[in-house]
Amino acid sequence: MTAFDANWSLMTPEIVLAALALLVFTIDFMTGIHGKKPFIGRLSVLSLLVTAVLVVVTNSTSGSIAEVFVVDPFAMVFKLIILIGVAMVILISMNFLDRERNAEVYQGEYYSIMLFAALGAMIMVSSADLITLFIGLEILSISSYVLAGFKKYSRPSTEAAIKYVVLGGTASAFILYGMSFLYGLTGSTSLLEIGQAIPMLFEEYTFVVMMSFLFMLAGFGFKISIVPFHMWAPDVYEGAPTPVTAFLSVVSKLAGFGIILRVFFLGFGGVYQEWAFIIAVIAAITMIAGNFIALTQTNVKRLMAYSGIAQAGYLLVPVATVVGDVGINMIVFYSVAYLMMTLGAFAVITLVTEDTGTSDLSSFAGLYQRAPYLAIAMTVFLVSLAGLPLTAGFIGKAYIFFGAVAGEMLWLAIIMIVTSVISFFYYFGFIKQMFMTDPRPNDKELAVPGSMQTVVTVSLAVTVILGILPGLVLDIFNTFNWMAFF
Amino acid sequence: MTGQMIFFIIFALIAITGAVLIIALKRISHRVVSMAFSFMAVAALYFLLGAEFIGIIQIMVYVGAITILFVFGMMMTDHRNFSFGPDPRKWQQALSFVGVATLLGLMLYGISTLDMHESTQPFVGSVEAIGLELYGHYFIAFLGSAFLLTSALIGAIVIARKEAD
Repeated sequence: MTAFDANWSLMTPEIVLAALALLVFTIDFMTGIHGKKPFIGRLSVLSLLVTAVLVVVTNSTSGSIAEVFVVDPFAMVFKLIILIGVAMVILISMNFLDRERNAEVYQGEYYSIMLFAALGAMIMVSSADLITLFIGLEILSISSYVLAGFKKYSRPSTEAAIKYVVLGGTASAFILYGMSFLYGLTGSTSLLEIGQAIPMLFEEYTFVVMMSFLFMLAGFGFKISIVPFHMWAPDVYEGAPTPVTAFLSVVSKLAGFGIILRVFFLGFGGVYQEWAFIIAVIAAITMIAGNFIALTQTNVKRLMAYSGIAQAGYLLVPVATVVGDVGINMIVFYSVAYLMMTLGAFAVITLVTEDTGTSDLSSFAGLYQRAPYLAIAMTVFLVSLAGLPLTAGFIGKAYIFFGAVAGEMLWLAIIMIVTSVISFFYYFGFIKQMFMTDPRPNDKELAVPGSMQTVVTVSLAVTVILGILPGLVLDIFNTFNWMAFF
Repeated sequence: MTGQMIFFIIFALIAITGAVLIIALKRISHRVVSMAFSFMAVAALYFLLGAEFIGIIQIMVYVGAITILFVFGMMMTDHRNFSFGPDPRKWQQALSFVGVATLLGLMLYGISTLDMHESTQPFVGSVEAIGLELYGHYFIAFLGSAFLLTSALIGAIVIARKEAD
């Protein structure tokens, strides 16, 4: 019987973020129940940035705590994506919560739950053990359920939260059931041990291993909203408060991709050939269904939900075509691009829909005359989402496309191009509203508050710079040995 | 057929029947009772497997605490039926039945192909072993669940809180 020996300094960012989240929560209940609390918002952003700096400083050397909690370049980059994503979502939220219409939201709890969600996502992308991974996933999921229902006197928000919690709970049950087969076959929850045992187990129990894989794929697929597990996304995205929609479509989705890569490459990597085709088919269906249904949408938030589904399809393509570090390069690069362009777009959407009070596409009418900077920034984000040159989205998509061609999945690459072309139609629907329609008679010039200006400018800068000089980050990514933590 | 097998079948039947009745029964008080039966039978299954600690915890937490919590919840809320849309049509019900039945069939087939080796040494899930694992190897998960519960608690209060004005 020996004491558990661990290098706890590897967990520094998580410990600091947990302490700061509790501090934020404590300050909140010392300053009254209701009322506007912009200082707590600022403090939350500060906590996230401090944690991000700590991630860069302490996570640059790899290591692991008992092979349960691992620190490697993969975990580091995904943690940075999560932290910056949540910080930008909070900046968007600060403006959102400032409005009279949203006075019912308890601000302090909103921010602290956001921080807890970030903590859960960090634990999730950093774990190589099924139990820790699931706990992290549940911290993130339960926080998301609550966030979706934060406007509790609004019927759509409550409906979104109930749908999300019921379906999300089912998805978690699927994940656990799939995991239980793996545990039963290997007697271990460690992804490393599972990864070592899987080729032999696959020989012996092909059906059960595939069943376990499919159960987990269904559960994780729900979290990242890929077809056919996407039904919840439009309803929840539409009903949830707009910054929470941004959170779900960016942070929640990218963290979900983080664990998909971790579990499937580390745990099922030995039998890659057996499941790559399933992922390819799902990616194809997701791209087709997401883009085609998006064509018919007139509600901005529903449209962004289907656009997010389609984007998840693009992100799945490298999982199916390129094994190893190059595949992760592609996914991480597109994740960074997706983070920036989607959050930038959501900042503009929040501002516009909250100003006009409707999330119909017509609320964007004549945005160019009301706020030229926002309209131009939004155009760049949409062009990047559609994947046109000079933007980060184009580089990311081109990289994924060539990966698919090199991986001898030409049909998948062709579907990707065709669906991207289809996506131009609905993204240009936005642009048409902004530039070619006159503003509605009583719409005045749109004032852009400082926090929104920051988010839009940062995302705009990164989207354009990565579009012109992708080497800035790709050169760093190329030196990484993504999942080496021993 | 050994005695263990007979008891397994009895408890398994109770557990499954209870679980089905939770969905099938109309009145919420009946549902709570069938839930208690289902939990109790699952606890008995743990005992059969030699996981005594988990069995006792199951009785204490699920049969005791959670069932009572549901009773309180039942007393303190009013029950109205509400739905977000029209009731599912006949063909939708049939389709989902076929889907679920196929899934069940595939799962049963998969489990029946398993040919696991019988464990030679008798296993007893002792409290000591569980404690050492929980505060050792799985310590991060243990701490993580503390934050999970905190976040869930804050969320529950935020959503359920009645304004005092």
